[in-house]
Amino acid sequence: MVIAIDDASEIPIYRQIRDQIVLGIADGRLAAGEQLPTVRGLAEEIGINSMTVNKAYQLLKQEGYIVTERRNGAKVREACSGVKRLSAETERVLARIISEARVAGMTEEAFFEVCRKYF
Amino acid sequence: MQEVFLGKGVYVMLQMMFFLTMYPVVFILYFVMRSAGYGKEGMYFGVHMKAEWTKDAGVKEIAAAYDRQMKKIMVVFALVPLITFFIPYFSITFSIWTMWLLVVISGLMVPYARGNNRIRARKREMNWGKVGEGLSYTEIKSAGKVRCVKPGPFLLPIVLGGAAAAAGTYHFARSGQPEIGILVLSFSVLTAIIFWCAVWMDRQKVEVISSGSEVNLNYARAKKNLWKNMWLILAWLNTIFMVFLMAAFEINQMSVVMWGCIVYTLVTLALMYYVWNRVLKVENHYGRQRDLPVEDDDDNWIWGMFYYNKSDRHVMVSRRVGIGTTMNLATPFGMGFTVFGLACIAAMPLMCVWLVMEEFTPLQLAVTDDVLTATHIRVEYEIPVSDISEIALIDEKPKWSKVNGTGMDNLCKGTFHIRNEGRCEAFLNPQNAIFLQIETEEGTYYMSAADDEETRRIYDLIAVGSQ
Repeated sequence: MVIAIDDASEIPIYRQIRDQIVLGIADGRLAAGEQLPTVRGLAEEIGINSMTVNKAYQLLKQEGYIVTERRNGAKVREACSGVKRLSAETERVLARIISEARVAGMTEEAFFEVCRKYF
Repeated sequence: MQEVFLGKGVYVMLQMMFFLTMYPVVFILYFVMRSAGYGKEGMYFGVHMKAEWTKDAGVKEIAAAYDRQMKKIMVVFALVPLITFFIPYFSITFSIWTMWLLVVISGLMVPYARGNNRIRARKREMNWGKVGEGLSYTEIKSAGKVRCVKPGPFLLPIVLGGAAAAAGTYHFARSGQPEIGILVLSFSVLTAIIFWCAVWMDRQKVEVISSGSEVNLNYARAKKNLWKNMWLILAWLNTIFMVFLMAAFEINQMSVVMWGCIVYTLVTLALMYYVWNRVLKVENHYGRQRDLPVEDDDDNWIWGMFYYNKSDRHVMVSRRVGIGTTMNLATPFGMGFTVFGLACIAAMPLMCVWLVMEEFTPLQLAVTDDVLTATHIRVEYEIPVSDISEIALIDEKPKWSKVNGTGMDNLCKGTFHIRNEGRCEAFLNPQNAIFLQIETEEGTYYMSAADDEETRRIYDLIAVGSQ
């Protein structure tokens, strides 16, 4: 799976990593139980500090997308598809996006059409 | 027994060695830089370009000017070293070749750097913006795990070479030629450095060209495998050459040593050419499967050649000119390596000046206040006349080999070794007809002044004084 990092973006790099791993889990590029690279390995590959990757992994773990084991490193959680709810942080982001859509004059139907496309 | 200082035959051999090993550099570099200019798909002088931009008249003019400049420079550089065949002095020949090499390497890069600046200016002028989306891609499957270099295969040449070098160093030290031992040992260290280079190159990130992980991983493995094989062959080649050198020095045949150096250099160049071709084939093959935009990081490349990116912690990155890897000069290691490289380059002209001074400064012998002083650039020896137990005029200098110091056509200076007799100190011009043989408690000295008349005068002065 390929992740794209934008150095010029206002979104912090750890957040970009987290978002793309979640996207990978959602669209099946990362299967349940699949091993993720080690913090050091991924940091070396991207060319960033390992603390940044560690922060992304911690966030993913808190949100229940991955599990970390001392011996085997991090892997995609087997039951992460069964959480059936958004995290508080994601709900906040969603609320902002909906507000922006309303201010932009989008109808509810048009907004759900966009949501369906990505769901 | 052949002597280790430069005779006429050895000098001609050295000229041939310089010619065969250094002269091809101008043509190799010309073709490398020529193909780097605008031969790479989507890249003009290290600047990312869309196909439609390359049809612009301004861009075409820049490419044509580059071709003209490169041809002119190549012709001039190809002619210059030929003058060395008419120069009978080793130091001048050596200096011309050394300086020529430095000027060729930097000179052939100038048109490329100018092309890079002009293309970037043209992009700004035409408001073309960037190629791609300003994103850098990373393959997270097998991140940090695509490695081809294993220590095992390298262990054998390192251990064998190390053991042979240790035995050789001991042997040559015992036979009074420690400098040959040090030379052999340095080749053994070089094998270890080759392994280290292989490891560093192997740690390069996986280049992402496709959204399909298998394509990226196979591409990375194919390239890394080629590099690993090249380094492994180089490690063996180096070890074999080291053993060959020891044998050649043992039979004391300088011509064999020099032919060995020529063959070693040519085989290394041929190997690199082969690997270069194979890497280009791999790049072309996988390039056709590219479905992701290129990473436009032109701003991180100084003159399109030197990578400087503070926010990238990679020490090694893929080169833009030629093939292989280059260093990120913004990392502490890259900076240190650059400073070391620049210091080495700065030291080369100094070494040439020193060599010319060695060859052209006349030897001076003088007896002042009952002390025999030998001066050449600086005071080399001071021997109180009272310490001299015996002095003789000889018309043939001994057959010897150099332990340390200088051995040239017109200068033997330093410690030399005479088989079955041991070490002695030399300070003489081998082209003179007579020499002083001086015995002291500290050892034997062979000396001469600038000319025979002066040598005889010094002999008279000391011989009469001691009577």
